Amino acid sequence: MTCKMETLLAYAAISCVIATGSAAQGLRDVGWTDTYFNSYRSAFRAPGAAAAEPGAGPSEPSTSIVWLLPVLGILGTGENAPGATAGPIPTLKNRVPDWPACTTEKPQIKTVPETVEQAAGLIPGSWYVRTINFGCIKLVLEGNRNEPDPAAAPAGQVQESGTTELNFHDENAGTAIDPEGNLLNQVGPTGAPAVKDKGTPVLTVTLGNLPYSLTVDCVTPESRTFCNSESGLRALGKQLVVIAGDPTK
Amino acid sequence: MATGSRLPLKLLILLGAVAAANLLPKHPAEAQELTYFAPGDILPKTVGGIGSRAVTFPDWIFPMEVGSGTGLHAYIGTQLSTYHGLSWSNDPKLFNYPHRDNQCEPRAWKVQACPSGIGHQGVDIRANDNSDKKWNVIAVEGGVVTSITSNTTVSIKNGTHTVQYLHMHPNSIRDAGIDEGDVVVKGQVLGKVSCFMSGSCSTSRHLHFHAYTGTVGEGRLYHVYPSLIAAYRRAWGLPDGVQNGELTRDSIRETGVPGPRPQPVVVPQTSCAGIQLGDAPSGVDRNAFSSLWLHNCSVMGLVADNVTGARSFVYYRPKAAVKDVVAVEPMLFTGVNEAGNVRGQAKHYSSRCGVAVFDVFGKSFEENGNPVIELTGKRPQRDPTCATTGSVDEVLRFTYIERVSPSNAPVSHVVPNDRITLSEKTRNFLAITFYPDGEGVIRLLPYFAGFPGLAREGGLTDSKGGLIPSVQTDEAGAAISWVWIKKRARFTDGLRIKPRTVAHSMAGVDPAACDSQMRPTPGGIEAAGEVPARDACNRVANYLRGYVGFANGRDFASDYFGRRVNVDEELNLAELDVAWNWMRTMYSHESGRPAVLTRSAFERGLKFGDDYIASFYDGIPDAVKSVEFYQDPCNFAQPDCVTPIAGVRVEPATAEEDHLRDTAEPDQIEELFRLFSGVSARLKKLENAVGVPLSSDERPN
Repeated sequence: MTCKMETLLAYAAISCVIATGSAAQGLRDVGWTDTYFNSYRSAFRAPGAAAAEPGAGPSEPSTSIVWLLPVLGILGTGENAPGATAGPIPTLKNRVPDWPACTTEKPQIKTVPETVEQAAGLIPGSWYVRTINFGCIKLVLEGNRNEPDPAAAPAGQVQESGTTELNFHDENAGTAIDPEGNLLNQVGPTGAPAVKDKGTPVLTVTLGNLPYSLTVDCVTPESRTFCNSESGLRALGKQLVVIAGDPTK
Repeated sequence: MATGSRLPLKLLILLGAVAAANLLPKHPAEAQELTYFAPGDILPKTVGGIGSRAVTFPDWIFPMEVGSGTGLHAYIGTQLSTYHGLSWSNDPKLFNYPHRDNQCEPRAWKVQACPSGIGHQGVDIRANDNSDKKWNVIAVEGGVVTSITSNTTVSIKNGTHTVQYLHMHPNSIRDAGIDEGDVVVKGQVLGKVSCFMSGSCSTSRHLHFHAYTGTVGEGRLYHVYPSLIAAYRRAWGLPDGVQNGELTRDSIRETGVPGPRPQPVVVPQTSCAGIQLGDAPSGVDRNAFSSLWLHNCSVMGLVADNVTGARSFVYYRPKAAVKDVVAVEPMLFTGVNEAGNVRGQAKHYSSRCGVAVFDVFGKSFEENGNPVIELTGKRPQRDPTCATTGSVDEVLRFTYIERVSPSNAPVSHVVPNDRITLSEKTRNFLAITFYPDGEGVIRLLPYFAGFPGLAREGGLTDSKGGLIPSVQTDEAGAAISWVWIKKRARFTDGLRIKPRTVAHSMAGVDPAACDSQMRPTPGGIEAAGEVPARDACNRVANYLRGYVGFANGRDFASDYFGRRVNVDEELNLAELDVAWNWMRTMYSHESGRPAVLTRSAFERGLKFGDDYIASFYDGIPDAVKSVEFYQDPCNFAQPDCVTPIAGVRVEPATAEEDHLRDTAEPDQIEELFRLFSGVSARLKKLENAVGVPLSSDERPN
């Protein structure tokens, strides 16, 4: 056998799974010149920093993807921005109100896509979803440079850079339901109205020209307080830092 | 075969309150017809929904295993029981038709398409009944799993949109093997319907379903209800009702549309209540039937030859009580229909005494607008020793259920006049590709490297760095692909192939590694690990989707065979028609369009391939001729031989002529062409022999 691999139609499998036509979708302008990205851009160009290997952020997990948009991480979780101030960074517990004690300091982080095959038919590096798992809290961070499909909604005004929107999704519309499906009265143990659970919070943070979504998943009862804390959630939104991305792309 | 077949709503109606207790739900919906409210008609009435009827995702399947294949229902409707005046959010009354849109009902979620700009971001769907962790949620389309949360939200991205499935039981997601980064295929099980939200069972048992573009917080949610209604209709074998990209108004099923209302449900077989159906007997193929009929609570297939009038009734889904006894000889009746008078022979089955055949006759007629065939005869009466002691009157009644499928005409083969794909540009029919070895060098295997049709210019590189070698002619491309099929394809039996084995061969996956639903087997997982095993089966499934429509895939085989080809159907490629149809199926799966090759060139290519096999594998060096030899139809006495004779000019067949040949030409014309070309070919040989042009105007008198 002189050939390591002989295969037919190697790409057919992928192209069958993934929608075609998306290549025709345009890419949004990232807005790298936005002041929010200044420090990252400077560090990226600095000798010995990310510029040595364009596209691969200095602390980004190993991946074959060249990122065409700012890849965000959470400050203080080991994914530091290039050029960030040296020295210890206070933990999230010290910087984010109501950040629960049940969280781990070093989250497990998963980034999709990690390979070209996971690019979902889009230009690899033009979008990502990062799951940052702190144990009792899981963050899902989504960035996407692709033009949205107008079939869903007409193109709208992009929020000003630096804007944060906070929305809650409550599937039960304020009704508490027990595991058997019975509707529960909204009263606490003392007979007073129970603290109303607002649902799953989603922060939409606009940086440059792109909106990034941060879904906060409070997995356990211990962490639910944080998901109802607007001040805590907004403070969390301010911990986003750019950890990778090629401003020249 | 049986598992992929569809029993439509009408069957369920005929089976009445009926059929298959193990298949059908035990709730009030079981005897009802599908009905649904118009898109945007949501509760409470004071709130506006999205009235658009646009079916944005016409290729979706429904996100639960519903339809005629399973007999299972699902019900789109708000999960908020208070809108129905009920205090139990899992109340069985909520598991009922009609479907009702519930996108935009009061919520705080940002949804740009909702009239108020906020609302419920998708739809809630109740499963077949209110059981927990029982009903599968399946992927409406393929994509990449981007995240899984405690909600439990499984997000699957496909191009610029993401579909989210909520509230499945977390263990069921794990059991389904779904993880972040996985590539999933349409129809793949994602988990089971449950009630999970924020890490605990805290919502009603339902699936919440929505899709968005951009990022999730932007509020660019699609209106999914019309696409789901279309998918649901398809699942039950109904036309999806999509025209010009919109869900048309169905006056029968859509609530509030003016027009005829559903006819009262006729349930002639009420005695079938609670009867269970068995699987189709081995070898019984639904595609062979022209229609399905009900007989004594069993579903029968009618084989009809409208030219001769021959008719046969075959047990397709026998009721469980008789399934074993009819399995050996499932043909219950065979005979003829002459102007409505039906006669022939029927069988009487006895587990103790075996089959007895007796004459029957009767008529076909209509009853309440529904076709019925009723046959009477005297069946042998047998004593405990199985001796015939007399006869008893027997009535066999068959009630029409539905037509199985329209008789598909094969798609005409119109040769594209351009070359777009890599396989077309390289003329490498099946895009046989070679990848770099461990040293980064691409080396062709000897069978390809020694192929006389190999082009000198090398080839083209695919996006993964593989080399698709170019060949000199279309015939050479067909030839080397034929060599691959005959000599290189694994898991096949020479030219007797099955779509499943070809798919495994193409994907390079051992058939034992995947089960019939293309899930990894324990052995496959043990051999490769869970994730690689799943990926491997997904690759096989992808081929089958394109080839034969596995999991509602594209199904190119139907285009070329004019019928559904089953996953495990044996195809004998030694038959030229079968080879032509199957090789085009494989080609089109790769390129997405018809082969840039005429039937004539394809057949010459096969001969080229056979000759090369004789030369390369069998050591007969003279077996293979020049590449040009295989380009000349005259060397094969083909109809498109170009040699002019006796002042008659015969042009090479154009794509249009090939098209005409494939579609409109009677057999006689084909035969004339064949004779004509044979004469032409012989003339050419004679010319060569005598050294005198016999076919030009200058030939000597």
